[in-house]
Amino acid sequence: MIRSRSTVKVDAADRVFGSGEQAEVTWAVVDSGIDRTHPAFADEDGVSRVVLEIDVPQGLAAIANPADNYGELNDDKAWQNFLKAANVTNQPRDLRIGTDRDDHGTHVAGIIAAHARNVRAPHPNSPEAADLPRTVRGMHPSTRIVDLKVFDEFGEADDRTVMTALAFVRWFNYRPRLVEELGDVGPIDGVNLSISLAFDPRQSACGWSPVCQQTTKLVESGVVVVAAAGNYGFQKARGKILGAGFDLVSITDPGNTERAITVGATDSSEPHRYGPIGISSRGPTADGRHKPDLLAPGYAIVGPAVGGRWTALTGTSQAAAHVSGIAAKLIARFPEFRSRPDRVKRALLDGATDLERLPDYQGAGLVDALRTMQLL
Amino acid sequence: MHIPLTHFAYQSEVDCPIEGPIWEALSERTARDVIIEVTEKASPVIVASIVNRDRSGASTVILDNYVFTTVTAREALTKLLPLTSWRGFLLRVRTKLEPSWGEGDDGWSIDDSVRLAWLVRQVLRATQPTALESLDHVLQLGDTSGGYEVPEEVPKALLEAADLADASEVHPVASVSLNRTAERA
Repeated sequence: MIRSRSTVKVDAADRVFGSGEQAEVTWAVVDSGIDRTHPAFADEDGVSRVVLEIDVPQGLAAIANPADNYGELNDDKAWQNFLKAANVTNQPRDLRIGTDRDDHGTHVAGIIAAHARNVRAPHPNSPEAADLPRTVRGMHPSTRIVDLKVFDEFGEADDRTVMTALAFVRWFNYRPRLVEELGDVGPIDGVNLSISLAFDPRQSACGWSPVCQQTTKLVESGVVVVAAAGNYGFQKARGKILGAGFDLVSITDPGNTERAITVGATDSSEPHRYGPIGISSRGPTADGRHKPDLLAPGYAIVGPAVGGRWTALTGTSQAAAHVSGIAAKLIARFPEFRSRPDRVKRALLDGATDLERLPDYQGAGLVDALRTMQLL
Repeated sequence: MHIPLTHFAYQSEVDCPIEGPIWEALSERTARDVIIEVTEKASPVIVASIVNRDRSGASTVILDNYVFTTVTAREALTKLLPLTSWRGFLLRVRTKLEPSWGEGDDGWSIDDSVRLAWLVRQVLRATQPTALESLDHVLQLGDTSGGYEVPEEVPKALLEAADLADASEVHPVASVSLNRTAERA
């Protein structure tokens, strides 16, 4: 996040456009849960910018009561019940799988919205310690974050929890503000999906799996959806044949969704030199569309981790979070783009920097916050 | 139920709305999480009620036009398949569930023969893998002049499926897919 901020010219965009009057933007992170107490998310008054925390498996379990014939999530009353069971805002959280801390969601949210002052690495000799400046900023630090935790206590998530999270955002945005229940939260302008489900052409057409259809519905409802391309660009060396192990047509769901902004990963400081990193999934999609749409830094990105720590993670998850943060910045500066996800996508693609790679490796190129905002 | 062995020799894909990978993943003992997509004109509530009939303890949730539930291979055959576009095929199968096997009547086609052989193979794989091994062994010997006597549980389940197909006038299920595991990218 530290070096990559200048790689995607967010620092330059901040200087040119200033931090003057900006609209409030809310972004949902569909992931493994966020440590809301991390200093990276504290505003100037020390209040967390993670404004709502929803535990989706917990909500689904409450709806799917085996004693009943079935549960429905198709009306206000059902969603209210879901919300009642799933809303864990301000409750103590245990973001662990077994004994391991699950840093993924906290890290992704930090790339979007971290703003930490007086940063110190807990272990002065750790590799990330050398990299940590005193102030760490994400792509758009004033973004308010909604934590949609889809991974359960065993670290597992699936089509159902992701689809439910996406449907929740649609319901949430069409409700009159739930001020009484939640305070003044939302509407949710965008969703980050740093997750990956293997696409099986024998079960659905590419881009038409149930989770892709839910993603499309969410975009149609006016929400920007940013999805990781997946980490299947290079699986493992297969013999000594040159190129073996690299896989085209390796974009996963929901990245296969046409109207999602699908993001592959590049190097954090030298994207022109390295292009997409090895693991970053390549297009085209199985039905012949160009994907990914963009590249963004995704190699050894330093970001917040559970328990007030900092850690470096690699993957298209981190790349997607960069684009989410820049999209949030764009909407904050140009609020007329709110609820116009296709226009936001077009702007990001038009403003991208060509890395002179094949379209199915780089999409439109490296996301560029400054040029994107200047073109508008 | 007697099926000519030649019908099992076709390797072509069939148009089953419950695709091969789903049958592969199902077994009689272990239920699998599935996502049922209900057509726009049909009611997911009715589909959920039919799938949950005569059973308890299953977690079923309706979200938009999807039904999240769990099914075994037998339930996929007897409760889901009759609600799909294969409804008409199952009704035609019913007319064939008799000792002597004939072709070309009652709208039965060679495509139906291929469908039936394919379906029997999927059901055997999930419910009676040793019976499928025996069938494959016979086919490997290369003599396809005879017929295969399908284990009686299969036609019994097919009849049950046909009864449900008969009871419903439309096919409300558009597709069925497995509930996949998500990874952190």
